[in-house]
Amino acid sequence: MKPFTTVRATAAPLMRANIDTDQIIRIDRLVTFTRGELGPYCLEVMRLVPGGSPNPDFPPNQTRYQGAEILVAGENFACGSSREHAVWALVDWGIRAVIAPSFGDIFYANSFQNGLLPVRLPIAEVDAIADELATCESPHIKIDLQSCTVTTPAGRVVAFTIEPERREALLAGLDEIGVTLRDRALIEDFRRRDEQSRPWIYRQTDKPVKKKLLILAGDGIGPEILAQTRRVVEWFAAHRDLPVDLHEELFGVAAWKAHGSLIREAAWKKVTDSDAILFGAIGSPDYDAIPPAERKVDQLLRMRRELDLFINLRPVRTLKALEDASTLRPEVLAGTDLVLVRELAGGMYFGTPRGIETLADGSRRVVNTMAYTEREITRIARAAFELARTRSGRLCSVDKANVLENGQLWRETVIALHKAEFTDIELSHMYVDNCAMQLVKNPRQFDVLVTENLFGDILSDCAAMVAGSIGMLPSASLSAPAQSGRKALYEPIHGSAPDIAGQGVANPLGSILSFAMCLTHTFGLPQEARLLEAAVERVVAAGIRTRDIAAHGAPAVSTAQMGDAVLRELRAAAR
Amino acid sequence: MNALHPVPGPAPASLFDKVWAMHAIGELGQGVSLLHVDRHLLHDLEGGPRLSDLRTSGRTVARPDLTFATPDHAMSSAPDRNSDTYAPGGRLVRSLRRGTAWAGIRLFDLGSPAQGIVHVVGPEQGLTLPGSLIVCPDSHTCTHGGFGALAFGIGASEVVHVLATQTLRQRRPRTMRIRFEGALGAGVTAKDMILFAIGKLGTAGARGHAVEYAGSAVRALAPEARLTLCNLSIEMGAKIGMVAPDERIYEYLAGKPFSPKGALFDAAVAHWRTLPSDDGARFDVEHVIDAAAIVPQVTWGTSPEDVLPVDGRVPDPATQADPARRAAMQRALDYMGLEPGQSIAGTPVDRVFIGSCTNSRISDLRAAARVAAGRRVAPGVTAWVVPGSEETRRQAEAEGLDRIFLAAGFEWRKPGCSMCVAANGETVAPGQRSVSTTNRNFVGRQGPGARTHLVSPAMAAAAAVSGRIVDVRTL
Repeated sequence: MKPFTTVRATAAPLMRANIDTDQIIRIDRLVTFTRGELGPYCLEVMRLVPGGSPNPDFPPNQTRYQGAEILVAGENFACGSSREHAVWALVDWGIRAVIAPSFGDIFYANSFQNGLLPVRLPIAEVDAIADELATCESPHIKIDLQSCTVTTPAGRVVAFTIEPERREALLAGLDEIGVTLRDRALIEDFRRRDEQSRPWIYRQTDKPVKKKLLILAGDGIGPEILAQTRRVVEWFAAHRDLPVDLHEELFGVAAWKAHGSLIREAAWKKVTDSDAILFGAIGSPDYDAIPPAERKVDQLLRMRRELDLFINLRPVRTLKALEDASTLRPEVLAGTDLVLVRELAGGMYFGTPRGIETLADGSRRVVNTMAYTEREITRIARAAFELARTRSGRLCSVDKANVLENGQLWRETVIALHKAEFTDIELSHMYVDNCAMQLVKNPRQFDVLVTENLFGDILSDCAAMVAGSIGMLPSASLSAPAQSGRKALYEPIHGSAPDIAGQGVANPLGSILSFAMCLTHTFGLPQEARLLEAAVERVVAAGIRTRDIAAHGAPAVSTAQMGDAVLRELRAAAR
Repeated sequence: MNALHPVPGPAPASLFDKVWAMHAIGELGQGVSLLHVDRHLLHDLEGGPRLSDLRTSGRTVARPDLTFATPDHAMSSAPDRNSDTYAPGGRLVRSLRRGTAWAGIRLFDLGSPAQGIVHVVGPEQGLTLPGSLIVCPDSHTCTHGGFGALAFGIGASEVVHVLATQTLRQRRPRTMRIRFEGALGAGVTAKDMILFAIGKLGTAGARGHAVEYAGSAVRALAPEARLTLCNLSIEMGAKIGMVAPDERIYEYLAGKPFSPKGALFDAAVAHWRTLPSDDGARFDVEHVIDAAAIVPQVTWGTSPEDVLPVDGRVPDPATQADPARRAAMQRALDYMGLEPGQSIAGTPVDRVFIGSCTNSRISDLRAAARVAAGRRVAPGVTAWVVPGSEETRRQAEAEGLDRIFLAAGFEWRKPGCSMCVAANGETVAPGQRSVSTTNRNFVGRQGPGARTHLVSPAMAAAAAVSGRIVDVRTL
């Protein structure tokens, strides 16, 4: 804000009482125009006659008052609505001060926020100044905020009063937010006491509702990366009041070794009870040692099915610091920020009939079925449309409608939903073959993509190269959004990497960034998620790299050192 | 800033004194306090743009959990509306969606079960609690004072300040008590009480004051009527209007989606019972109004203070001694197309609007429906009913009110500010006369050249079926 000290300018009289803010700026102008554009519409209902030419009866229109920067107005100036646009309109029109006997309360306060000086003078004095404006040779007024005086057109010096702190703020052009935040500790202290005495303002029930979070580190490098993610979760619980109830259970080979089951019953109960699962990885050569009957069921697929996790979100953002890690050219990647929404519970991976049969001639034939109901398509499309609403408002639906009936129904259903509920979203369609090409050719064109299970599986790996490294990529698998009871599973998209398991060199950032997704989608705290994402970005930008993302021959940090670095950045950001 | 160490003093305190003190984090000097904000309500006109300002400045929302948003101002109320039915509103609601998603703020979006006019949604969802401090970038935020909240409108810069800090710098206003004593006559409502008071005190009569409405006629008002009463406080110049909470408010709030539950509700009620003004509490100004003397009110001019009893006559500027007032009255009469001395009753009307944060709640719709039932909107009159929220709309439809209105020839529309603000493509045509349950009859408020008469919902319905301004008590 520009400091205000002295104004010496032409002043114009506008001696009507109760000029309200609706007259200063019509509300329909606010819908179309914003700060900086309102000048032409300031006081238009008085300033212009129907048809738009200047109203000769409006004093500021007279030649004598052209270019006025000060208004001299009647009582109760700018009463009515709270719109700050009234102040902006006056400022945009070129007004720097208004002299009046009294002002609307809200307008008066707003003026100081925008460097417009409202001067209150007794009504007789305002009348006298208005008379002088009409009769003196030049209608000039000087307002000096240092000395709190108005020099009238006739040269009289009139003192006015103004609240000292408002005067100081105007003189200094101070930002009030910054000033207030200097008292952050006092505010926090107040809030802690207030939450004790009036808890119902802050929550609806006796006890704060905590989200149940279950860590299933799984196989391979899972345990070592989740150990770092766990430290991050605990940091948010301790320092950011994250309402979390954290549990951990063995899963996979480790569970087999400990309990003789890939997931014991107690752990499975926690899976179904939890609001969210932080999953590590699945897959290990050790599975070969487990009897086939015990490992027949893919426990990860079982979780997806039982929890109805049909929405798979794969955000892909190119980090500037990691552009070199991709095989694609940096200028192609730069600025990519997309989310692939993959249907996760239907299509070819679940469709029946399926299997390999032996024909009469002894040769074999294989069948897989890509089946979708309208309901299944609608619910994943809805999730994608809703996500698009929170981003740029664009959605690209990917199918193979030119060849497969499956694609035809997919497209028809997406279009129908768009028409029924999401006309505010810009919808486009793309064939999956073209999409694979476009993803590596020009990934920046995409914002939110939605596609069926198999296509999504393929496209998400393709998109992973756009991010530079697969070690950095998070994912979320979600059930239908509901006010409560939404289930979710968060996991890095990389695998269990048995070749480096146990060495403490794996990159935990994909898992840590998956927890950031958890902050957004399970806790509803996108700002906390960004705090974490920003910390990760700063770590990477500072050149701290695990082996997978280190430049060739450059030094690499361990898994735990990467966790240390992220926590260091979090502490610094939270101060 | 100096921290506060509140010491319970023996001096009797008013409702306002208590709630103010409860929220004062510290003193900034010269009567300015830093106040804690319990509920920050946002709407489409200011929500998205201000969240975007905050984001640009590199700051974050301090308490997204205490911030709530719903689109209302620039939304079409057409029965088949979508985000873009009024195109400029589409841009605003998109910006609100992005901003609230960015910050993790709960949005009662278009089409969701809780969307509506922000001042209708707050009480209905149990967000408006007695003794809470509520701000919103809209001057009719004073509405929430009907439940004993300290609520007021703030400007755009203040919105960003609250977003960033969940606090607000505020100068302590003086206090005023208006006591309405006695019983209201039949057909007389909270809307008539407050229009009557504005007529007596003028649009600047309570400027700089926090007003407490009290007295037997106020205590007798139902919760929703108290919201109507407080809604027009700003039309009297007061940013804040309040009514002491009582058992009827607690009963209303029990079980609402966002009100406290279980033992926490009981603890809250115990606290709320301590809020009403103590005997002997001091007010800077006090007025007493005889409630029994109030008849249904109608405005005749372009300011809410230009108000008449429905059996009154349009005043004559010639009788005014003050030349400025005389000129203002003449301008108002010219704009309104009225003659001095004519009876206000009998004036023909073109449009009737039942809606807005003043009078769009279920009790308002019931009152209007009672008049509309079995009658027909007069030829040449276009009459709209715009329920204040989806919740109200559902309730009204469950009671069959929509069918009563439709059968009588009213339009039954979707929730929003609609023709109260004319910022959504819904306006009264130039020169047309509108009888409206809203709160402002300013020049151009319902559209350029629109002539607005403010009345209660029953009076509006009566005008619709009569084709002219009429005393509802005579129907």
